[in-house]
Parts: sequence; C-alpha cells; structure tokens
Amino acid sequence: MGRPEQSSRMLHLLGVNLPDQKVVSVALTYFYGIGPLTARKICSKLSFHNECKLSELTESQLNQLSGVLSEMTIENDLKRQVTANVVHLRQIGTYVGKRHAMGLPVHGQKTRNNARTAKKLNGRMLRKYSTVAETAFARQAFGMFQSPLSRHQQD
Amino acid sequence: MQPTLVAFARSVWKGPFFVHFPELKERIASGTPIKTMARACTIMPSMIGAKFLVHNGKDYVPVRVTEEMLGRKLGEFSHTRKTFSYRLTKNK
Repeated sequence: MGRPEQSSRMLHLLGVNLPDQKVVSVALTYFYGIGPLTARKICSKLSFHNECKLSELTESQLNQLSGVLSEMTIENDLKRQVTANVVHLRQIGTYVGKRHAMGLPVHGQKTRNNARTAKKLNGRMLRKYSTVAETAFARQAFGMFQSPLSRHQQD
Repeated sequence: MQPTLVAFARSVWKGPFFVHFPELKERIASGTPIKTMARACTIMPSMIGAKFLVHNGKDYVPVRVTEEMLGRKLGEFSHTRKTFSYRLTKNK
C-alpha cells in the first residue's frame, strides 16, 4: 500500500483508485459496498477527523484503514454474494427470483410503464452467471433460467 | 450487516407465522400432497419433503418443499400472475 513520494492524484487501495484530494469519508464511498454512513463509521473508528483528506493520512493510518477494509465484505466479494443470493432465489423458484429473471421490478411496483431501473439492472447477474456455466450449480441455474415459466408444471 | 426488511416486519417474540397441518407426517410418508390456501404460512423444518398444492387464486400449484426453502412462505412458490403472451385471434 505504499504511496509514491510525489503528490499523485489517485491512491490505489485494495484494487480501487481513490481520489487523493477528497475528504476520507467521501473517498471511501468509491468502494462498492461503502456508503456515506459506513464511511463515516470507519472514519470515527479510526479517529480520522471530519475534514481529513486522504492525502493527509500517514502511512500507518493508511495501513489501519486497509486493515479495516480488508475485513469487510466489499467490492467483488459483495458482488459475488449478491449474485449468489439472486441465483439461489431463482433456483428454488420463488416469485422474487422469477421477477429477477424476467428483468422486472421485484417489490410490487407497477410495470405498465417505466420500470426502467429494473429493466436495466434486474436479471443481469443471472444472465452473466448463466453464460459462465462453470459448475453444476451454474448449469442448474441456467436450465431454470431457460424455462422460467414452465416450472410449475414440472413437479 | 443489517437485518433485512423482512426481518423487521414481524416481532421476534411472536416467532414465525405458520399453519398447523394435522396430517403432515402421514402425508410426507405417503407422498400425497396437502391442498392448502395458506400462502402466508412459513416453511418450517418439519415440512421438508412434503408436497403441497398451494392456491394461487385460481388453481392449486404443486410445490415440493426442499431444505433450501426454509423460512420462505408457501405463497412465494405458487405464482399468481400469468405472463402476457400475444396471440392472433383466429375466429373473429
């Protein structure tokens, strides 16, 4: 996690480029899985003051920070967890899983028009997962994805 | 990190909502399905292996309970909506 001597504009921490000139709690939200609240909690845990910028942190503080971050479920681990949850819902045949597979909203929103966010995002993981098809688990999920509607007739 | 909204919905002291099926054990042993309208019934460990016919408002949809379904509701596995598919009308 060594920082170059010249004041560079980005800091590379655990595979994510963080902007050096930003306040720490803001910069931390660049991680997938860390929002403003979690970022503030981390800062107070490590006793960084509110306006402390990332460039002002010392080497040991950065080490502490990366220590805390590496214990959290963030970035790819979290994404994988989310995907696994959706695939599981799909696999056991729940309504939520079905809505994900269809790319429609999950929480009972109207779909007469709009539903743009869901159409953009839902089901992406299932499709991505199905193209990989590495494990038996994936293959099973793939089979279910191909026939999302014929499921009740099966058993 | 945070409990889900589903967990927030019901007080813990009440425990999960479930319906008592009187012949559950015999039905699991014999493999005959249990016809039910109790969609809100939580799937309990005692129900694993049972077959249900869960009402979806129109028909009774067969649901076989597996271990992975624990803690979900019976209704989640009996879909209530029919997907729209366009067909040309033949006799008009």
